[in-house]
Amino acid sequence: MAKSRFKSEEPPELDLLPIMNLFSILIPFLITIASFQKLGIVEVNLPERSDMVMGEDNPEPDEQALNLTVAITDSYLQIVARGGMLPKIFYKEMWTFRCKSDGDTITYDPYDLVDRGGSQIPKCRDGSETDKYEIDVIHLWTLERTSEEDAGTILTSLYSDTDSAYLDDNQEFVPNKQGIQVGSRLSTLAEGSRREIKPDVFNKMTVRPRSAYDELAKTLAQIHNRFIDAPDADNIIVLADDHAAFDKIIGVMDRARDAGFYKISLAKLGG
Amino acid sequence: MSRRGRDLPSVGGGLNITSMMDMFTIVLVFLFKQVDSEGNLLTSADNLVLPLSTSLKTPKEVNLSVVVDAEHVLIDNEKIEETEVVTKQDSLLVGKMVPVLEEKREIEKKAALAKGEDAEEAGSIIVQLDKNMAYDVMYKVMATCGWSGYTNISFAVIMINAE
Repeated sequence: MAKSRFKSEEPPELDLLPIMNLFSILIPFLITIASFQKLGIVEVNLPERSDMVMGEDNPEPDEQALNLTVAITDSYLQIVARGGMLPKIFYKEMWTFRCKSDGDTITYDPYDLVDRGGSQIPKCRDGSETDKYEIDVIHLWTLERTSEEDAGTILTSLYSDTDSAYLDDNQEFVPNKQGIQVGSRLSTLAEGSRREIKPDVFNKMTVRPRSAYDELAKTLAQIHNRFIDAPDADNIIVLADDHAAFDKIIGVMDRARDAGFYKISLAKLGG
Repeated sequence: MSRRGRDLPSVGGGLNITSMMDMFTIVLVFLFKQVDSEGNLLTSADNLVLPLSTSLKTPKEVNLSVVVDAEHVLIDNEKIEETEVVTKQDSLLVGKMVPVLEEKREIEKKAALAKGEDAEEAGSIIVQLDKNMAYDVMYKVMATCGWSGYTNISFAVIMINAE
């Protein structure tokens, strides 16, 4: 009797096994259905079906309209506004692949290889070749070209550790660390970002080839500020040639939206 | 010696899984939250990589989705056409997509009418393209969607600065 009373007073051990079973099934299941990348959407405007048929009664061109267009080709970006063309932003396209075998990255200029008359695509260390659909990042390195024949020199720019290019007081890109020190005042492409450079920020600065996207973002922001009163101040048309990668279109659309042109239409470059 | 030998099993017996339970509970709560906040209105297709974007827009409702990967064009996970064919054709419209899209649009219109909504409201569609897809294919797919009555076209992207 005494023994049994003693037993009943002992806290009973919970049998956790069924719960463990449940958990070990639930957790893998939830991991498989949970996606850790947040998906969003980019909206584009498309003319209605009736507008798609080119009529003869084209409306008179509006003198006040901005008619902003960005054309993407394989070697330059061109901004056209009010019928006038801005200087082309020349760039050199660089493809970066990430090898599946060792996670190593390979960067090369695709047009260089074609020009050399072969398809000597660099291979991964384990010998596997890279496929067009495995491009990890497409870099656009801004080139400065003095004439049509000039192959161009790659422009560099000072970047922060969060990948934003620095601008000086004249709204020009900072090409290198020369003249920049702790305490200098620099801004980035974001509005109202001018501030003093702290030592830790200074140490993380890197000099890299300037991205043509940044060049585009800067010009578009200036256009948006200047023509804020235009009736179509929020509209932009993105033109691209047939081979432009979707990634580049999205990149250009992002810069346009960040600059304030959020009504984006797409059109095709003839030829 | 013999006593110690007898004791050992009772000491080592009964695995202490309390701390493991704690961990599992936390992981479980985290995962539930993750799945819940997602809403899963848009699920990424398997064999393609979506581009990164600074866009902050998320889909508001479930839309018809067109997926274009390296091999196929899919509407609602059904293979419709090969991407290769779309690349090579001269016509702006992808012939095999039109009847499928028009049929889906008709069903949507009927459903909208049954709910008492405006049936002529432009259809919405989300296009998922591989980030290295050529613009040519993208434009043809877009034109086809527009032609078939889906004029609210959005492209799926991975948000870089998602909170």
